[in-house]
Amino acid sequence: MENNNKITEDANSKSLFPANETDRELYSIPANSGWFSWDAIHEIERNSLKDFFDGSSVSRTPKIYKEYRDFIICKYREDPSRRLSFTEVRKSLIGDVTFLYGVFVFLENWGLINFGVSSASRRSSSSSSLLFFDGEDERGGKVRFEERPPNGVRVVSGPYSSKVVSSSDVGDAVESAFKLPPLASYSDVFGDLMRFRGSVCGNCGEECSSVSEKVFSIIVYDDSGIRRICRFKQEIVLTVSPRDESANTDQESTVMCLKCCKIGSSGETNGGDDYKFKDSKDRSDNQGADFWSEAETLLLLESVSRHGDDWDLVAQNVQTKNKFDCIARLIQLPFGEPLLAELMANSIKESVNDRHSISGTDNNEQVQCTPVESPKILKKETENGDLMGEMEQVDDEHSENPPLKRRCVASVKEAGGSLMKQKELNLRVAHSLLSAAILATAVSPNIAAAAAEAALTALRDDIQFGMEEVFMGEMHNDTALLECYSSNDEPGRDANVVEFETGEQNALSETSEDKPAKPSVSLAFQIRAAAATALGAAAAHAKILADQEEREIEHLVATVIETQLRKLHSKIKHFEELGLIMEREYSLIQEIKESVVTERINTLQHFMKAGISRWKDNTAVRSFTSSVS
Amino acid sequence: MKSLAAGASKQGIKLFRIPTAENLVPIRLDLEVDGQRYKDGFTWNPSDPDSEVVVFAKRTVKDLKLPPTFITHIAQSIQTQLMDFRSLEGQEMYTADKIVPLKLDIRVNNTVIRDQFLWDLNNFDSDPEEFARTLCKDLDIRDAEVAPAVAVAIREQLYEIAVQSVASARETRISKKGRRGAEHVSSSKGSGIALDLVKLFGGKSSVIRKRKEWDLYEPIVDLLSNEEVETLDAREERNAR
Repeated sequence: MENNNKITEDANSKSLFPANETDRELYSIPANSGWFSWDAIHEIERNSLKDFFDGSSVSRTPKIYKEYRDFIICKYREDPSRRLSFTEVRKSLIGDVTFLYGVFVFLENWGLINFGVSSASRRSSSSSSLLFFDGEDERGGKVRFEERPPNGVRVVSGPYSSKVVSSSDVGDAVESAFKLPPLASYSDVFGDLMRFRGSVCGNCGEECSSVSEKVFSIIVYDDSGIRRICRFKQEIVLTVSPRDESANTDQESTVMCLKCCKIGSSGETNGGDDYKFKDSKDRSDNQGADFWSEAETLLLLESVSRHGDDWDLVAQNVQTKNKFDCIARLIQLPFGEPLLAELMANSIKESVNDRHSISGTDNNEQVQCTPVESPKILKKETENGDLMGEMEQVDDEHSENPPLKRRCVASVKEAGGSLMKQKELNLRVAHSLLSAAILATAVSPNIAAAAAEAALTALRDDIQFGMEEVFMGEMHNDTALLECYSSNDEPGRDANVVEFETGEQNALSETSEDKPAKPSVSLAFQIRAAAATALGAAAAHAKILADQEEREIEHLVATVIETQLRKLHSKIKHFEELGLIMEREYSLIQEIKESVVTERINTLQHFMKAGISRWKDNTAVRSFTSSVS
Repeated sequence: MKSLAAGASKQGIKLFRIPTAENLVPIRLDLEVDGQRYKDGFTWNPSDPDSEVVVFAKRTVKDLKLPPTFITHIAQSIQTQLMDFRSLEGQEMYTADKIVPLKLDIRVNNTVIRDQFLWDLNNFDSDPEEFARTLCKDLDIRDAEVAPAVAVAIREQLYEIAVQSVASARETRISKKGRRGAEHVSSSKGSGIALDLVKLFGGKSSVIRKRKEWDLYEPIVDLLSNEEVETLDAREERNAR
């Protein structure tokens, strides 16, 4: 469960916690209660409390249930640190106590009330702190301790007005680590995103069910140290707008649920093919700010080749664009397209060009993705090598990367006419690989991973097309990506990551937009499969790099430690030697002392024997005797 | 239980039983033999064999060290109460949408509880024992005897109302008014005067009680000192005589 959600989580969490929202009062609820919403009654509630929904009595209607529910939750949230008891609740609610108790127990079991207030520590726990961090923090090592919110905070349910998330928020949101007081409902945290909730299918009038839910989790450590995963869903509505937008500029684009679109009941005048899916998040990405003129692109390429991955310098050179734009643009560049055109001039024109709107000159903005046989997905690692070889030709032209071995040059050339298509597919994979690989080599592993991941998120949105190949690829990628994340250690890069995401998503969603128009659906699947493969390979590459780095660091640390140890050892030895020397000297001194004493005694005896008492010397003798005694 | 409820739910006519999940009969004992008084309340499963009654009586007498003459009295009392209950079994009772306010005013040892709440007679999944346990837990009542006493008190009231609804169902059949029976139910006297559901739960009003009414429906618990208990006991004894 967690693994599945991990990817979407990271893609979304950044946009979900804008920095300016930190003053909002939040409550946390357990992961499995993510379905809860103030505005609606969920299926779980219907199933668990059937009595309120089977119309068996006037005293039990959905409206009354909702009133009960909202009252109980509000009551609890007046003071979340205190355990709310049923007896307290029932005095203020009209209704059969048994059913009230049912609602109460239901809410308690789902953690919507009395969550984190263990019955054992009703009162004492109120001052204990909870530890929260989201996926971002987990990787970056940023951990926030959050005291419980002040008592008396009350969350009032209300309709959430709908507004559009522009991707410009995304940038602000990057660095904000979010805070979560103990109890938060989905709508409290993501009220802004709930604006989609109200969208109604333009065709069938139902509440839009084509909302694809993105789930992300928040890991919460409660006072008993138990790790809980909170899952929240972000809902993204697929906006369906008429294909020919220029012709319909005066007409408002309609939101239609997927159901309608699939059935093809989208109206008498329009066939289902005239609509394309649009991730509403991406809408703003296509706007003027992101438009790159040819001159700008050239400037970018030039400065990249000069300054490498020093993006500040690159951006300075390009002037009209900022750092993130430059990075995003570079990923999107269809490297090697000219070469391709030369190589495949004939076959492309004949077989593909008419079918794929993605080939040719008009797709400078897109990452090229092409079909690949499914077995290849599983062999990403090896394929990666092959394709890298192919890509290098492309590389040389753009002098983007230091040239590597030209391993597979021959393989491109030997491609016969019948294999042409297959070959072309490979090359297209190579493009996406190249862009990912450039990231991996020129930028840093985590950025490449983020780009790949973002693209995967986009792919995931299309899962309803039911392509198992991509699934396979994703499964594979998930692990690689997760591992990549573990090596993410530069919070400062996060901004870049987001930019990449938007860039990649943009590119990918553009490709997917084209799909419904195509006659062959399987081709679309294959294209996605190819994209997944390419990104997977990039991720794998990024992971390898990360691993290498890690190993290197480990090695260096080990060396340092070893040196220090050696130093210590030599010092100890030195001190031991010194000790020995001191001892020897000490014994020597002792001997000398002894010999001096005996000499004195001898001298004294000599004096005695001689019997000479020279009074002059008396003092000397006396001093001798005194010193001896 | 479910099938029973589903089978006859059309017009709110059901076979007589205690309108709770478990069909347990509240038994109230209040006996005085040879100057010794024995008061107790508990529930009895009517599907248990009757031989259990005597066994229970014997054990109770032994446990409470009562004189053996109590055995027959206890057994007899339980038996008659069970007979009363069984005489109603098999009859129909009218239970359409009926929510009654139940009132508690009981004293168990040193604890006095006064409470009021609504109870749905049509809910055959209710559990007075669970309710009582929750009540005691929430109010932090330590005395283990309180919860069963509360449950028995609830069951007694439900039992009484159920008996009334049997009568009203009979009335309905006789008067052949069929669906108009609700009027009879509401007009019948007793502690369980059904509430006007449409007024309470209908579109306009909120199910959240008015703030001034909260105190009415809030349990009040008093812990009495031993002297108070003694005086109360003495007064009750006087009243009984």
